[in-house]
Amino acid sequence: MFKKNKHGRKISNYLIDKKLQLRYVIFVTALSAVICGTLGFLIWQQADVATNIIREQLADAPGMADEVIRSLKSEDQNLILTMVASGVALVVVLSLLLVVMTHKVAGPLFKVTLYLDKMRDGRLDTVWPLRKGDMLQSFYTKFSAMHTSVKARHVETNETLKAFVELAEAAGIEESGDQGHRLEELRKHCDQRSEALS
Amino acid sequence: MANNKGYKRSWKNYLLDPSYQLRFTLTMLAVAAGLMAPLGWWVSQKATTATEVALNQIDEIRCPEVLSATPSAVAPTPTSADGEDVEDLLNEDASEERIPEEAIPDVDPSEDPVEPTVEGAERRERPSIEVSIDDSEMPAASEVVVVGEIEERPPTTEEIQKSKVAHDTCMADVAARRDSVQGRKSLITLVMLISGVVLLLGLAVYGIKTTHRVAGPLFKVGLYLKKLENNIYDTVYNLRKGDQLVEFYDHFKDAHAGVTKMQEEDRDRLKDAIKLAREADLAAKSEELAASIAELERLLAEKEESLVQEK
Repeated sequence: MFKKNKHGRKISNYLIDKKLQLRYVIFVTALSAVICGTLGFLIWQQADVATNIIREQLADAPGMADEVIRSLKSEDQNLILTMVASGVALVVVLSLLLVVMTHKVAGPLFKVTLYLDKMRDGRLDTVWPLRKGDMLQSFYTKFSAMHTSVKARHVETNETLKAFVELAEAAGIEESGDQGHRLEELRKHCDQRSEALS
Repeated sequence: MANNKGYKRSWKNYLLDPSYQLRFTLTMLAVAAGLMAPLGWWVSQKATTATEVALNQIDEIRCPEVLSATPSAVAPTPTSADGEDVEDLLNEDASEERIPEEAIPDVDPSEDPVEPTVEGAERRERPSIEVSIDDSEMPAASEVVVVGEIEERPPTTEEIQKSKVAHDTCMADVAARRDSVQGRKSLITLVMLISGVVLLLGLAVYGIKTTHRVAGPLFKVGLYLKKLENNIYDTVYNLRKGDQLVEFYDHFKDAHAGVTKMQEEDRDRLKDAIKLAREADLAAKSEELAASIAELERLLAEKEESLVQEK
């Protein structure tokens, strides 16, 4: 994640840390399994008690009893299946939600990473606001404020240097000499900086 | 630059970015609660149904009666298969409207052996059948000699005791079964409530903890961002063990190094410009140049001050 890539909006970029997310999914799975397992067992036990009492009372009519008991047992089994399905649904929904929520974090981080890469290369261009619904708004505001401030200082320095170079040239420094050469170096630096700050 | 100050985690500052951390955690909680509520309702319905069925079946259990020491004047009431008293069924007939004797016509059986005429109905002739019975081939009826009055034998003390024990055992069994079923229902409700609380609490704690691992590095980066905003190019330290966003942090460190380099380049260029101005004595050439050089010196001082902690 966050590798240099101009077209980096891939699914893998939406995940902050696969290990962290896997740990979260395992946590939710374990919790759901314990909750649904315990509740499912208790309801099944309660239904089984009712089934057993009915079986005892139908002992005199074995033919009918078999059919009734089979039907009741089938209902008891359905309870277990429903609880298993509920547990799986809980895990799937919470895991998908985690990916969606992570996406809302990974988006701003990816955007900031692009600006950071530009800063690493000595470029400070315009910072655009985040999309609606993105998270880390306060962090992004801090980043944006820093970027604006740093850029403003470099612009000020560059403008001052440019003004000095122009005034020095107007004062008649010889272009072919050492001073003229150093002045030319300053002008080149100002031009490069202007480009980097545009 | 790459040292680690070794800050340790503290529960006090687990909410580093409340808007992000709470939004993330509360969304997860809301969805979990939304899923648990119908599941809880369904579990509750199933538990209630199973409990009611079990209790109804338990109530159907009939315990044997305790025998009485003196024979009862009235024999125990027989019960039909449906549980309805046979006596009641018999009384049902008795309770029907009785036909007054006057309404029954006097019919001489020898005169008319056929059933009495119903008013308005056409009388039907029946064929007469003559039957002759020869009792010589029939077995002689056994003679019953009644010696005395038949009396119901009162149960012995042992029988009464046995019936009492059987009754008490049965009642205790029924009560125990009822208690067990109702106890299980209460247990299901309790477990359901605890499960809900554990799930929500677990997700809340885990959510805050998980987001903290993301918010932690961002908080640290935020401090450096603030310093940069205030023109302080500080040393960037490593993240703590277990923090997330390691790659993002590496990008930030590279960016920090990049802007620091820009700052150093600007400082060097300002030095060059001031040196050139001094060598060419440009300040003396015009007031504008003098003011420009003074501005360059101010900027140089600022930049050197901003970078002083870097060394």
